[in-house]
Formats: sequence, structure tokens, C-alpha cells
Amino acid sequence: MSAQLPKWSTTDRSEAGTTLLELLLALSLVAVMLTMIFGSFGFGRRAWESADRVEDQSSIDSVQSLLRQLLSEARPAKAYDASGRQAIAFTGEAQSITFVVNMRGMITTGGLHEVRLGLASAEPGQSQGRLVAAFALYRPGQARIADRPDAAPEERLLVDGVQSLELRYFGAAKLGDKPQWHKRWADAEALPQLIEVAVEFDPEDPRRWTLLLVRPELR
Amino acid sequence: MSDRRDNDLGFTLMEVLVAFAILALSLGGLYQLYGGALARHQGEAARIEALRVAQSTLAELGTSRPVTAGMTETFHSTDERWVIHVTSEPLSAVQAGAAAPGTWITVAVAASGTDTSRSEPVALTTYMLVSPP
Repeated sequence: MSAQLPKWSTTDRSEAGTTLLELLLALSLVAVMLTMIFGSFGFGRRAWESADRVEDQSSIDSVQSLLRQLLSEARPAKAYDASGRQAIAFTGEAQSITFVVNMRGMITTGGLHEVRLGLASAEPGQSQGRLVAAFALYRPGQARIADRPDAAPEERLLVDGVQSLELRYFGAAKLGDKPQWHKRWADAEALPQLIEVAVEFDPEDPRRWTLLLVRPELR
Repeated sequence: MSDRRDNDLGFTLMEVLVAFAILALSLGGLYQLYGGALARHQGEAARIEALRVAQSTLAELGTSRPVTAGMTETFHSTDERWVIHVTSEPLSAVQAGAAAPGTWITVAVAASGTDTSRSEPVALTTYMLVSPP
């Protein structure tokens, strides 16, 4: 008799439908599952963010290594300025630095290059600067990179989101002077004894810049 | 009920609970593994930072910061995060047999304050020329 009825209408069979207890159990299992899923979303997001932070900081570390190597190998190369006067091809300003170094295939094909480190003009509507390295092949006796508008240098982004860049130079500006810190080091007889590179990020930026002090090996 | 048990359709409550327990255990293991890896990486990052501080201090010594034989000096990094110990051997102990008057300089960098969890101290040693007194 009951076999003739469609399955869904077998109200008299005990196993048809679910008991309240089963329903409650199923619901609580679903609740536990949902909690786990959302919990794992949160965990995944946190893990992603902290991995990002670690990666950002290690890119800062590589930039510090690169700058330390480049600055410590800076050469006291002679160059001529626009007026034809000879001086060492090293121009240190408070916000930028231009020097000659053998790149040895680090970024480009190698050989002596004139390198300029500084903040690139921020894009309109952006308060943060970008620390960039511009470099061009160095030709002894030719005017410097800043005085040669024709020789468009290649540019590489080193660090973005930089709030400020501050450079200082330690040494005796003229032979016999007492060595001290200078904001500017240009047209000098020798390279400075010490170069300080300080970069600041936004206070909310988790990246940290360790004060970089480099001693040029050749002076 | 007996019908369901006979054909193997669906899971029993016990099976589901056991599956959940296994899932929770393995997720917990993964969580711990990842957390440990991150902590170790952060420790390494701190070590690298200490190394950078030591390198910069080494560059300062003999230029903007005077070096004397037998000196012992302790100071903080500019951001106050690190304590730097500079020690050098007395000249007389070093000079015997040395080609030029110099001293072994050791720069040890440790996390400042109570936060010792950041990293083990990093120490760099180099031979540096000093002018005799």
C-alpha cells in the first residue's frame, strides 16, 4: 500500500524527513564550517600582509646593499664642467648625488658609468617621491650628466613611497681643513671620506631604512 | 534508519566529526608551520638590520668617529633601536710583529631596550690603522 505512494509523501515512514535533533546538529556543523572558512580568510589575509611586509623590507635591504657597493666603489674620476673647468666627477647635494663607478654588469653592460641618485619628481597628485638611479656611460673629458641634455640617462626605480632623502658628506673640503660634515660636496679635490644616506618613509609605512654610512674606498 | 545503514549512502555523524577533527588538526599544523616560518624570517630581517648598523658604524670609525687603541665605547644607533659596542685591542698587544700600527676593532650590535627577542647580537671585526700616540 505504502509502496504505491510517491517517496516524498511517505509521512508514515519513520525515516522520512529529519528529526529536530538532526537538523540542529546539521546546522551547528554548518556554523562550525562557516566559522572555520571565515577564520581561514582572516588568517590568509594576515599571512599575505605579513609576507608582503617581509618582501618590502627585503627589497629595501637589497637597495642598501646596492648603494653601499656603488658608493664604496665611487671613483675620483676627472671631468669637465660646462665652463671647461676640470674637477672630480662627484657632485653631492643634500637631495641627490652624482658619481662615477664601474657598474661591472650589475644593472647594465658594465664599465665606468656616471650614476645619479635622487628623488624623481613625484607624479601630480602624489606626495610620495621615488628614489631612482639614473646612469649613463662615462666618457672622460666630457661634460657631466647634468650638463648634457642630449645624453638621456637610463633610469631605474630603487624605492618608491619615499617621504624624504637626505645626504651628507664628511671630509675636508680643502686639503688641510679640519674634516667635518657638509651638506654639499662638489668641485672638490677628493671624494668625501664618508657619505651618509638617510631615507624616510611615511610613519605608517612599515618599511625601515637603516642609516647608511659608506666610506669610498678610493679617494 | 535501518534502510540507510544498509545502503552506504551519506555519512554518519561520527564520520563527519572525525573528518572535522582531522581537518582541524592539519589546519592547526599548517598555521603553526607558517607562523614559525614568519617568525624566523622576521628574526633574520632583524639580523640583517643589525648587520647594516654594524657596517655603517665600521665606516664611521676612523673618519667621523675617532679610533684609539684600547678604546671601549657604547652608544645608541640614531633611531635608538640598537646598542653598539666598539672595542679595540691595546696597541702594544697588537703592534708586535704588525707591519703598520693598527688595532683590531670589533663592532657588536645588539637590540636595545628590553626587546631581546629581535635577534642575537651581530659582531664585525676588522684591522684598522691608528696613528701612534
